[in-house]
Amino acid sequence: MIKLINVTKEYLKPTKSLIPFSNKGSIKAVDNISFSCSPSKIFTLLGPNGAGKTTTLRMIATILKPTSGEIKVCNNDVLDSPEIVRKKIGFLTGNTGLYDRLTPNEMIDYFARLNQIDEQKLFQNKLELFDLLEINEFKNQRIGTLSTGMKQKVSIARTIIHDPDVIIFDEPTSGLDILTAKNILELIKSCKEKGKTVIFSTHRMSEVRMLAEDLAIIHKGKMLFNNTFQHFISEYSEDFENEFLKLMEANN
Amino acid sequence: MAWIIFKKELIDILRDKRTILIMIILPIILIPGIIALITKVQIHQMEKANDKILNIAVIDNQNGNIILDSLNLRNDFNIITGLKNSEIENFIQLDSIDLGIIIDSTFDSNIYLTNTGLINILFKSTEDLNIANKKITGIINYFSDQISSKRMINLNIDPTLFHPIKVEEQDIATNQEKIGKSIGGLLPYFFIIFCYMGSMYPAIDLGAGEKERGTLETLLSSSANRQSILIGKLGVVILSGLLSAFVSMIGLGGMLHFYSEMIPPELFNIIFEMITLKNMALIFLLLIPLNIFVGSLLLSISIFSKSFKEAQSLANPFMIVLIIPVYLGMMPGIELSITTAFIPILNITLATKELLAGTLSNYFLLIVIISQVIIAIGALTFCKAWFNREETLFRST
Repeated sequence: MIKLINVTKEYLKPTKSLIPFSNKGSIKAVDNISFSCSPSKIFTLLGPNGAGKTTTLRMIATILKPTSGEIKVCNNDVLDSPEIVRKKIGFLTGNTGLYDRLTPNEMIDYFARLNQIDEQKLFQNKLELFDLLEINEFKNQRIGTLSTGMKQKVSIARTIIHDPDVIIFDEPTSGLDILTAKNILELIKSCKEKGKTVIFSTHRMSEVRMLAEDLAIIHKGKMLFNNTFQHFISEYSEDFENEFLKLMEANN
Repeated sequence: MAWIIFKKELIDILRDKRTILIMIILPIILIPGIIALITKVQIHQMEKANDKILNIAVIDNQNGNIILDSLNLRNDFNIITGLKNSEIENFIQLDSIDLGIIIDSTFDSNIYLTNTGLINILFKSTEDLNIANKKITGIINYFSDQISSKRMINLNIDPTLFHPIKVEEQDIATNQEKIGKSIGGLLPYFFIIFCYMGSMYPAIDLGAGEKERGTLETLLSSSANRQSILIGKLGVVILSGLLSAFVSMIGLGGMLHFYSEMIPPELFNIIFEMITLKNMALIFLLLIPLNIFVGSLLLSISIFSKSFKEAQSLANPFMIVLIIPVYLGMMPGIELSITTAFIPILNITLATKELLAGTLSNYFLLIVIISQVIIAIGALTFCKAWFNREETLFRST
């Protein structure tokens, strides 16, 4: 369960000055947004590049702190109990985020231990995941030598090795080929089926059509729509892409 | 948690060939090798210049036979006569002649009349360590002294009359002090360079490298808190710097042993007496806070940078900031005092000099350590605050 109430995030304005952080002005990357994600449902955050999707997801993952508002993950406040929150989440981006000089085996062990799961559970989870994702054949090869598809499998295993309740996917398919992207979309569906709270961000309409149940549209940090995907289709029109563009233009 | 991160970062860094090259191979082989090569070339050049048969052109104007005879007796001079003044100048320019001697036509009569006889010497000060000039001037000075003595005896003057004061120098500095103060500045120079070089690559890789690979976000979203992440990373950076300095110590020791035949036995013994386990341990003790300081600042630079390349370009000028105080400490006249003992880095150079010379007092050692610990804590605090800044970690400009 994820709950955001009136969340705002301000950044320092980008500056061309040679002195770092010399400009004291700020811009709102996320502007007073609220939504909630429930278990066994896929919550989709849709928006163009620079809309504030990544900032929102990073705040949920406790990587960034909200300037104002409240974020709760499984009833834990991100500011009060960031470590408990992080234990409950898995975070996956399009960038695999792996260490090239480690092997898949070492990589998974490392993140499992960072997420403080006991050795017995690590052994069991790893066995299952490596079988499921067919990692065994390259588990002791350096990650730097693996193909993108193989790396993505390791990245998936890394995300869910500690069996998190909440899984955050930040544009997980960007830069991936169709086959690898398909694996990710399958993972999102399977997480939902296992009763996890799933939030994923994208700017691809096709992915929204395929996965979205709850939908939030975000543009320039502002929430333009927050309801179910079905509601969007019924309220606006079947031409989802066109309606999405209209919303963006209206916000401009 | 910090231990898990430390272990992983260490494995990761040690698997990188570039780290091994910079951290271990470079200090143990290359730098001592370069120093040995330069020393060998210098010695060879000096020997070559000393052994060289010098072409000395002479225009005697039928004067100064006593000097010419003495020059002719030398095996290391090839005396050339019959050239004109302008020809000698040309040949010296063309390096065919090493030095020209022109004895004035009134030389003998002036000497006989107890006046001053004139000898002109033509040479190029840029050639072969000025050996020809030094040799010829030495010979002429010898004759000048002899003529002076004879003149005084002829005038019934005691030569000691012109030496009213005799200075007898008694240097009570031990050989250890003299050598310690001269080479004592070099050791921290090497160690600080290697601390820096050994720390730089891991620091960049574990900060900016992590950003570039996209792994920082993954790491920050794990259960590990930022303090543990920082401790784990900093531990590896500091260990790498110390390891590199330690390896350079072994490299320099090995070089000393390898070239022991070239060093006079007396000097060799003094050097070995200075490099005791206690002294090395104390130098290392001084290096630990310095390494924490260097590692923290390098990691701060690295965390601030968006890419490996940017981190490298920002870290390089930092080395100059480190080296300037080391150079100052190597200058003669700058001693460990209540003021200099508080100046970071400079105090390490000065303390090492005193330590190797055997004159470092516990009082100054304590001040130096306290001063180093203060700047190390300062750098650590800065690094911690820096690592917690979102604007640093996710810098957009």
